[in-house]
Amino acid sequence: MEMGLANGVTSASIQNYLDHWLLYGQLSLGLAILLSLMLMLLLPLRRGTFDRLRAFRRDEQASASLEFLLVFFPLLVLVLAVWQLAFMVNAQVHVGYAAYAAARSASTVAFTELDNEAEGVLLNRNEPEAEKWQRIERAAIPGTLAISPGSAESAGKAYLSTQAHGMLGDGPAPNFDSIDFGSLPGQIGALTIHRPGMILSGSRLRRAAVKALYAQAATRVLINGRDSRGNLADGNTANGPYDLSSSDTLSVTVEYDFWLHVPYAGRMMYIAFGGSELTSGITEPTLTLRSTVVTPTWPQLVAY
Amino acid sequence: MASALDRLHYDDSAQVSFLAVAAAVCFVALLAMVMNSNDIVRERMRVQEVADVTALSAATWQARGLNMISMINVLNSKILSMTVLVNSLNKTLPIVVTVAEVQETAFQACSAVPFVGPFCAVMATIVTVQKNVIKVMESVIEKIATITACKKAAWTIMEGLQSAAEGVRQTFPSIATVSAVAIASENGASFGVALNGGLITGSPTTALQLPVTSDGYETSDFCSAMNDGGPGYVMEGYDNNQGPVRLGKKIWDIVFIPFFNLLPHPIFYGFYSFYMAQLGCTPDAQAEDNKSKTQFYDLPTCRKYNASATWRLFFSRTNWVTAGDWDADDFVAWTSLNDNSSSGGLSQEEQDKFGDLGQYGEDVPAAEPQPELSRGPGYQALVTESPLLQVNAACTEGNSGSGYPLLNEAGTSQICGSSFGQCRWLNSHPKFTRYSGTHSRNPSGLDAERTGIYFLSETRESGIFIENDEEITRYRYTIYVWALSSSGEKVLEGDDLEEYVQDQTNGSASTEASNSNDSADSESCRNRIQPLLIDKGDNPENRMRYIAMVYTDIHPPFWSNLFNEPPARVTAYAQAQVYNKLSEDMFTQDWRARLEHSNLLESALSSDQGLSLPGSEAGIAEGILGSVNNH
Repeated sequence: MEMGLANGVTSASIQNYLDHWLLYGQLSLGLAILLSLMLMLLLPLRRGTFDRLRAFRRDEQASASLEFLLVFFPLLVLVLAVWQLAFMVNAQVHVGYAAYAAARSASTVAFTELDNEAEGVLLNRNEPEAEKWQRIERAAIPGTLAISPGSAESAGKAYLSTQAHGMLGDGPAPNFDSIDFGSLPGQIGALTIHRPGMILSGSRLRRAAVKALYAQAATRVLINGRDSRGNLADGNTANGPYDLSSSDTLSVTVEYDFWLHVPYAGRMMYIAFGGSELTSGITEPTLTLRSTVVTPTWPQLVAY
Repeated sequence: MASALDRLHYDDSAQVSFLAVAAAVCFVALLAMVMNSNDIVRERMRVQEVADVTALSAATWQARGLNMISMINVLNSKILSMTVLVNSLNKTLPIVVTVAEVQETAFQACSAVPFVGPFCAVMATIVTVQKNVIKVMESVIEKIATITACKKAAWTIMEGLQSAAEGVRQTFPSIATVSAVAIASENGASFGVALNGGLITGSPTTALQLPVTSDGYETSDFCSAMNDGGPGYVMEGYDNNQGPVRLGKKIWDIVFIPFFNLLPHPIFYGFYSFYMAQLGCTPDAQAEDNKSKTQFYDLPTCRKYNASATWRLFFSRTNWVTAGDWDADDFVAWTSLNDNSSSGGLSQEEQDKFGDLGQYGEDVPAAEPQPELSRGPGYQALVTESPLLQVNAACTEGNSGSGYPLLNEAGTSQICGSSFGQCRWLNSHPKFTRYSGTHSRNPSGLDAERTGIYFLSETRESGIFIENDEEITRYRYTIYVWALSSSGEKVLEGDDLEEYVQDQTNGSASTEASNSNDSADSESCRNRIQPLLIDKGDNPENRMRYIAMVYTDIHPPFWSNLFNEPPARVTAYAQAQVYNKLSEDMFTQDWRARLEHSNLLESALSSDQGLSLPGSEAGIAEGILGSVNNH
């Protein structure tokens, strides 16, 4: 099998970052305050006018605390940014795995003949008796499940954020507080990616179910630029069965709406990595991570 | 002590270093998290690929075995073709020589006759040359013919090849399994094994052999390959639809053209037809055979056969039941004998075989047609789902293969097998009654068409049973299930249906099999030459599959515990299928192996074919398997 990994995360866009009014304003304000303090403390001041200020400048009491404050906040921002970045890299690793799993599934499932789907043909998922797309998407879920929010509150926020960015339909968010466990058996078990054994009870089950539900909503699989509902990568929509029978290779892309949950740093990363306009009220945005795997159709061996 | 604390309190040296260390620890932890995820994901991908390779390896061994057996079948059909051609020639050439000698004598005699003498002299010379050439041919063919005699080289080779094929059949699955273990180990798995799909959903004993058999197949099964060839004969010199015997005959037709005056063609055709007939390969016999055959569905294996049949006892079953337990709901389809709109092609004698259920009064619904059914010609034909009598047969038409939909009592579809073990279905015969439409047992309307296959006659005896110190009268019902596919006059060959009838009735069925062609050559070697063909009897589709299960013990670094409880073992499984790209027969050497979506364990868990779990647990297990397996 020949599989190549293509990282879909775009490079940072400094221009995008600076252009954004919110962060630009915050940055300007912080810079102005910093400069004012430096001017106040370092410039020679006139006698009499600023005696008290001079005394303050020469006073070394609490200088350590001041130095701490000066260093701490930039360092905190840096730590948060690195924290968020690490989670993004971690998520990208998982999205890559999801793409691998989806590609492996697609290379076998797509060219199987099922009762209602001919060899090489996939029915759109919303059509009755469609099975292949379900299997392919189900294969991708274990990869993204581990990086999905596990609490109902977080998942709700993440879902709303993703929805606000237009990546999900306008329908009501699923109720993460009350999940029908029976509908998510496979995805729950898939937590075994990171954990031993099966998790089928207690708080782990609830967390797993929440993760599964969000992962299902936030994960999209595209094969040669078309997803399970007929949406094309160029924004158009295709109707009817998807005929891949003449394809030599499958380019399988997994897109996942990753929730940037680290305060402030999440927004920073969102803009840095080319996210669209932030929606009002969304403080923890979601960023679409994607990974593509190219695989030959139906890996096979000839026996002689 | 207080002064030391004070010093520490006022000591502001290295305070920034403290922050740097704290930040560094944080960074290292995040880095470890990413490394940890990467390690686990990479290990999962690696183990999955080991599983893939293991499954493919095992399936490839099976494909190799099937290719070898196909090659042997092709070789045997070529050798068999050679024996037909050589023996035909061996009989033909002496006669042609005799004809040549007669002509030679005649031409020599007439060479003295005026006017025609020169012509006769020339012809006498030509015939003499022809005779000499034919004699040379004869001497060569005669020597070759000796090796085609019974127990001589050709037959010994064929028997040897057959033994070799049998050896391949018996050993290659074991080689596949052992090889799979080795492949998994070589690729770094702690343990990995590939199991044949038949072990999960079928009989373990048959799963330990390649899914081919010679049972039920005869020398005549080589006929099609010898005459028409097939995809497996795609090689230089073989046109499409031209097997070795037909090609050989064509060559001799051309070779004999210069000798046409000696009449070699009709003589050769006669012997050729004779020897082909000995193998059961005469065109007329085959055409007649095909004409008499009908489609025969074996539901447990979901395979369709061509079979010949006559009225015969398919099987019988006896149960003691109370009269009240036998009611209309035992049967889903009835047609009345009193419906005389059409005889359905049955004679009165045939109709009488099934008696009149009306004699049992109210206990048995004598003539209770389901109004939803559009009934066919009038005779008692039924599909019964009686749980007491356990004669289950509910089939829809239009599909074949493992996904064959059946209907249970709830009207939902099921997969063939299990409780339908007694179900046999004859179809596509003009004398069958075919039922269309929905019926009361199938509110969802899924039932597109049913075919009457069971014909009931029964006897009843009463008996006294003691239950809870009470006497209960029960009746001993015997259901005789008759299958109809012909007028009853057609004598059958031993075919699939015959075997199944024998199996079902433990030999008690009235069978009339005979094979005059075979009997004519019963003592010859030919009866010992049988091709190994696809075993249709025991779960052949799943026996073409291998499931590989692989795990690797991993030793995650200490920091993994910081983030979660790391798995001690990574497990994956994969499924590979053996398939034939050209034609799935045992004369086509194009068997290959490919990965496929792993549905075997899932279907085993979710249906009653093999493993069984309660519904919810089966669903969970199915989902888990599906997700962990990346398909």
